[in-house]
Amino acid sequence: MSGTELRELLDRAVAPVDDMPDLVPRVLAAGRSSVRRRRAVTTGLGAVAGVVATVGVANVVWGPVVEWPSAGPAASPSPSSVSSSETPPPGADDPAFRAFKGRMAAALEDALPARLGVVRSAASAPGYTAASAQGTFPITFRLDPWGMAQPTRCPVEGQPSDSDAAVVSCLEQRLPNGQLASAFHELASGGTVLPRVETVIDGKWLQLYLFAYQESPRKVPSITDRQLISVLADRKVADLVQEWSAHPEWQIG
Amino acid sequence: MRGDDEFSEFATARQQAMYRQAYLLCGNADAAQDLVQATLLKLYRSWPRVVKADNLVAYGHKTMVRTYLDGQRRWRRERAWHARPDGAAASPSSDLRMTLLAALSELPPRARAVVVLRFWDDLSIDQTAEALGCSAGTVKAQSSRALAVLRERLGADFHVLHEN
Repeated sequence: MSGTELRELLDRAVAPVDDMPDLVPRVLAAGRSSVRRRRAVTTGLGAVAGVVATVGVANVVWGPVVEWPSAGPAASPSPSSVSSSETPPPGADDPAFRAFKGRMAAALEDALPARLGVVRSAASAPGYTAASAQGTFPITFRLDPWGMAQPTRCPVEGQPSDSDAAVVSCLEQRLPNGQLASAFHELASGGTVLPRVETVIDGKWLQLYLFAYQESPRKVPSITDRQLISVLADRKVADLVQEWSAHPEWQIG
Repeated sequence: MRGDDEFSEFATARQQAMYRQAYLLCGNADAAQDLVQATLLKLYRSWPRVVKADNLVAYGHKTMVRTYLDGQRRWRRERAWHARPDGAAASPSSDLRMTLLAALSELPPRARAVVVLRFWDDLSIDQTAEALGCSAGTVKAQSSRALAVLRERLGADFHVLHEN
């Protein structure tokens, strides 16, 4: 079968398909709303620019999405981008959520290897919490109710990978709650190898990303896949994630 | 708003073509409509940057296939390239169109995206690689493999399809 023949077949496959209804008015309405929400989200981030340069984990269609200017995960090649503006979103203003993020930062500090230093909370939108270890590398911890129903699996040789990025290392392990967790070191832009770990809690996709050091974009936090999984297995972190999961208003980006 | 007007003009002009592209990717009308809506929303949200693109249509292709692939990853619909048992190959059907769609559905999402971009949207290998964020070599390999799989899956139906 040649390409030309295939083209003819594809044309014929869609020829009988009726036009769909006009989606533009619906998209405009949803888009305006999402842009307002995103501006509110990114505004809160601008207030902590000294701690975290850019944290925007928001994609209106699929839920929260973060995009880093230089060292973002290669697995998320979305054409969309985030710009900053001025007012924090209602959820980010919630004192209870702020307090929660502070407790989460403390729990992450205890659960991460001590050499990574102090973990401080950064302002962020509902749907994720951002933190920065000693202000040197950003951390993003996100709970996405619209995400995957199970964690990304480690690649199997000879089969297509769930990840677009080259996987340098991967480890799967059951957490104490019985859920599968998977930790990755993946090749990101610029040759940086970034660590992340993910699992699913109450049907929501939980992901923890550690990014490159801001002053040295090719240098990444030193942590193993096993240590990454141990962060999610940590009792305090797990309890806080359960608390997070019980607050939908903290999860909608 | 001027940006909204420009977006509306673009979206109105392109949405039905995008829908057909989405139909080939998704294999059914409902999912295709969802994909178009998701794609248009992404484009709207990034419109100030999108509108600076050299080729808006190509940018739309790229956004759609990436949205499609992202959705596929999230919902775990990825099929193993070799996992499907031979017995599950598409059987000859009186509905030839459905046969082709079924054969397309045999492909993993990335290979399917390559087929749609290369052979339906007529993108070059380089353009397809750019849209998918992979190398030209990967596109060539996936394209060749996809054609081989379609040839195998369609079997005798291909000749019927083509002769008709």
